[in-house]
Amino acid sequence: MSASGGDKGGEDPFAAVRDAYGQVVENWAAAMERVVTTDEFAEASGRFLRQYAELNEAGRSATRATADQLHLATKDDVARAVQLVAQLERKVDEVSDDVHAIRQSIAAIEASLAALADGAAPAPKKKRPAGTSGSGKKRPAGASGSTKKRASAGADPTA
Amino acid sequence: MTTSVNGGAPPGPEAEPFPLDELVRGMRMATGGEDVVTGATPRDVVWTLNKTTLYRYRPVAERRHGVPVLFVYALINKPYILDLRPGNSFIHHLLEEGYDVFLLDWGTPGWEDRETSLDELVAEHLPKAVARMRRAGAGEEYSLFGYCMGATFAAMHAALRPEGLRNLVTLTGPIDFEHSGVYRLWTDPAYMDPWALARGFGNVPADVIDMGNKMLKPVTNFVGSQMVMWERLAAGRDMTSWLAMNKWVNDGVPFPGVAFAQWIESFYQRNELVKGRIRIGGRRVDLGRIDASLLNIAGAKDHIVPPAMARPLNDLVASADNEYREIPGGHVGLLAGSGARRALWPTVVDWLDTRSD
Repeated sequence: MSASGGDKGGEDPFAAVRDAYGQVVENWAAAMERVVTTDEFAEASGRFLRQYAELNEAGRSATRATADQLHLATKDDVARAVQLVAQLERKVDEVSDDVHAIRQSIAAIEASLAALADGAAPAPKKKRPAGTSGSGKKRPAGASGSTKKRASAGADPTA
Repeated sequence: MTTSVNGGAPPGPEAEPFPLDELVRGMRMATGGEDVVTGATPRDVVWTLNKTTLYRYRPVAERRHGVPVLFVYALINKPYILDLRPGNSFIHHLLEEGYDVFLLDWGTPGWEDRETSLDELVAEHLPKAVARMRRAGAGEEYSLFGYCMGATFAAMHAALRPEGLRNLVTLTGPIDFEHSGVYRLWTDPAYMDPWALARGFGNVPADVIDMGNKMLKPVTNFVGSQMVMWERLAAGRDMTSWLAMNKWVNDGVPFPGVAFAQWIESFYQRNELVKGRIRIGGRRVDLGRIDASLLNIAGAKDHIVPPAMARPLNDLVASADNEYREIPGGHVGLLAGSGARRALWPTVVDWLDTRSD
């Protein structure tokens, strides 16, 4: 490690520590890195982790049993309540997606209708005999071929 | 007093060699008692689902690129490493370059999230975030930037849902776990049963994950960082960068138990991603389906995700525009170290600039 305290007046209080550190650190680091790459270390750390996890589980079980005895809500009870809220949030999110899709459809229909109203409909349709539908069948009197409705939605507020 | 951190009285003949206030400050910093502003770039919440939050950063310059950038981070530590502090924020840099920037933050899981799976996060939350980004007016196409485990998630998302993805940038992304070095040994099925850990812990504690990372280089991480602090303090140097990095390193989040077990078993122990055997959300992840432009970056000195672990992505994708870069630096220093502004940042910006209009 490079000395960086030289720009400071007076005695460097860390010089001795730094020198000692500099002398041993590389060997020390290399030795430690050799240790952590051995099978023995991997086995020991794996065993430690497993025991730590088991201890955690045992502690949780004991706490749960105590809380049950005292008629107190446990961490699991609280977690279940939070999960219900999260599920509700997910449903709201899905509804929001659906509403967005509907709004987009409405916006697309509106755009088509606006284009038609402006006379910008590009594909001129074949003239049909008056009073017939596309299939050539007569429509009942008074029936309109138009499905045009007043669109209620404006531009997508989320866009 | 010889000096003060904030440039106080100059050294004089009566100067104390070891001022008490610096010693006290050092002790406070060493024990995490001194805070520093991190993640300060202004942003808005676009969408949330459970603990997952999609943020959009407010522009700081005129927007010059039509394709937004979505950041995806890992499940360990917090994503503010991407926006570490004023003056050292990759996200702020992208904003200055005229990008529309989004960040997907997985949040901090609680006990109720211990059964959260990778399927839920990658196959549900990530695609939803992309949809919400579009809904927020970001356009149909986007660039996805994954960092660390987030790069693996980004690659899987790119394979499962390639539509609209213009660019994929993976930074120190673990892909081929055959080359995961010491982790490969520690997670060997003979030594580690990830499902037993998930059952025992519920969520694997942040301290356990942190300890695992630090034990890769124990002397550097446990002793070296403290030495650097005392040295900088004694030299009267600005401590902000050390404080910010130290805060982030020690600000871990628990790993949802089921996601942890999946991550260790399917990725580290079985290396299923490169074999095309991973199934996420019921669908097989075939990295060969990725056809977006790819920039894959590894850190030459990264001991957490060694270059050999990240490099194979380029050979697995179908992208015609496909680049691999190895940049000097370690896993975190690459992005937020003192050299990032000269190495990584311009590399990413130059690459994106020609692909984001």
